[in-house]
Amino acid sequence: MKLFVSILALSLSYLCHGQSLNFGIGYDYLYAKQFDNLIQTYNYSRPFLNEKQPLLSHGFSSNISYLFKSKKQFSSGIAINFSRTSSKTKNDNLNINLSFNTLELGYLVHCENRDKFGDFFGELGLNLMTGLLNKKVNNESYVIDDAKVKSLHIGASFSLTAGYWFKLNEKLNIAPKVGFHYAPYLTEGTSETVINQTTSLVKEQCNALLKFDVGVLVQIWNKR
Amino acid sequence: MDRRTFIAKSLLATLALGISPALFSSCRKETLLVDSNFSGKVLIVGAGVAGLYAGYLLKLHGIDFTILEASAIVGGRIGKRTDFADFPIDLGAQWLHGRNSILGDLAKSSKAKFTKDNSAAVYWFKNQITSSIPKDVESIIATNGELPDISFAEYAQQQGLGDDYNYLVEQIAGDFGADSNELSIKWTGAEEENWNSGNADYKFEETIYDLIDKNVTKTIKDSIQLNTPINKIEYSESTVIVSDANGTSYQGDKVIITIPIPILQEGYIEFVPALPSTKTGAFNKIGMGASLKVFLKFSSKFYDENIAGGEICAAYADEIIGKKGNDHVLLAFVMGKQAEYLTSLGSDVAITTALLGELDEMYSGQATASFLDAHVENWTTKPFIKGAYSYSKVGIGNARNIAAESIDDKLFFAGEAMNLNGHHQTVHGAMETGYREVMNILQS
Repeated sequence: MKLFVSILALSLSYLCHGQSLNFGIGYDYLYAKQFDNLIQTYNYSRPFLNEKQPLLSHGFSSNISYLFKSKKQFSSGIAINFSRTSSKTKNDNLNINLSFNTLELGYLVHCENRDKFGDFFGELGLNLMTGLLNKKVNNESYVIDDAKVKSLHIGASFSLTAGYWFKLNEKLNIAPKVGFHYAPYLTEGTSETVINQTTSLVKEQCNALLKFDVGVLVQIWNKR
Repeated sequence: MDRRTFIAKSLLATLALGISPALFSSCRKETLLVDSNFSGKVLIVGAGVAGLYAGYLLKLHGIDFTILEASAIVGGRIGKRTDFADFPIDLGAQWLHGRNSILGDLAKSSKAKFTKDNSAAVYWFKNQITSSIPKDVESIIATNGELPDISFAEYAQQQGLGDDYNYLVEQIAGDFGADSNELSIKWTGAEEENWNSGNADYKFEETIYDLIDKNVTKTIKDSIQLNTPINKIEYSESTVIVSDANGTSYQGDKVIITIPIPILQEGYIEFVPALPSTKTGAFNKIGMGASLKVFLKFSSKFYDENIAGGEICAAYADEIIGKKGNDHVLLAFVMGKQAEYLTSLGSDVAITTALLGELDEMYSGQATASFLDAHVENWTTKPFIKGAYSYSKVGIGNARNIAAESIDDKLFFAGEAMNLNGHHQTVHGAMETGYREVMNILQS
């Protein structure tokens, strides 16, 4: 519902002010040392499980951004980015499905200089990031004493995206893009409980997070 | 840039971008310690669950180890008997306390049969059996808020639970392995906050002993040496020398000590050089109460599923719960000062007679009339165990953390009393310390 309202607000703003609206989708690669430590400890401590839990690495992302009009090479806007990374195992009577969803809401600086760089563009973002780690055991939500257990993480992230526009028509551009998202600190949450079922056994925690994404961006111009 | 150059560069970039996550992935291992440089010998003192699990992991990592067990059997505080009733009974630990733990994972993945213990309780209150009591005794262990560092008994008095509730409070303290006058309400409450395996209890159709035996012990049977009571550990040189009461010495690079806390407290093992006083002081701050499990077999079932509040035994439980069989077996789970009292009676017959007397009072003489047999498992009198499980005494503070610290990167401490996640007193807590210390050794 919140996402729908956000999209609606962006669309209305776009129609009113005649700016560009960008939609992106892509493959996501996640590196979060905190989760790595926990999954590695889980796998090491449970050698009786035939299939090891893969690290939380691969997923997808989608994003929407709205850019305010500017005649200079820099324009600014706002962006929402959602990504989901998951890890699944199938062991006898113990199928585990971990997923980590992040939602970033932030301010974006977009750079295009046709004279110098042609149709290349770059974007720098500063975002508020929230992450939710979920677990399903045998296709049911992870529950302790009838309460669903999830781990919520909050922090800030920087993002850097680069791409190259291909013009499809007057109002529509498409671009392959590559991006990095770096969150230097995310709150720890209860990820140790969710993944390793302990509370303070895994000593070394690193609460930074790095994401790499590659995908396509579609830009719709409303030039009035 | 012309179109041809752009296409060529785009293809190259796409290839690089596609390959880079794969390369990065190959650097990230799915499990810990695959690249450990440690190749020495590990000696494990004690073949309880912590020691067995540590050995199991060392074996899988190809590390040379030997488990030195003082008694003639493995398992420590787990055990079973199959010829007492038409179902196996757990002589030691018998409940899976919450299934969200490493033990729960082992049980699930090995397809062990276990069921939730939903048995109902009645209370022996003011000399009668009743299904409810006026005041909620369970609320004494509420963990919210800052609690004073006083005993359960004192706190219960402060909360208005008068003498009528003495043995109901004792039953709760007994669940934590202690006498209510010794158990700290503050530290027990704080540890409960860390508890995250779930509050429901589960029972195995077989026994916990079977689960560990089939999945862990069998793998490492050849590396366990029984009847080897270690009484000296010399760790001043680069190699640690461990000696047993028979005069045999063993050499290792690292030693994992998993023996119960009373054996560490009484100084049965001489450490050379002596352990720091902060360490021995920490051992002494951890409590471990007396404990008895008495299985009473009857010709008929006249008793309720759980009876709390007896003066001789504060906790009786129907042993058939979770098992498959027809025999009628009632477990008297006796802890703390009640266990000390029964132990002081001196014989199994006297212990059984005292318990039957109390049950006769509760159930109008039906206990003695239908009594068939008894098995007394007194964990207090076992020379290398001396109790059930550790508890947090008044004033314990961070003693468990100090007790669990390694010494000179050679001596490592495991066992349920060394669990720092609030899971002490449990089999899964002991397993956690077993893998924690192997992790510490292989990462050292």
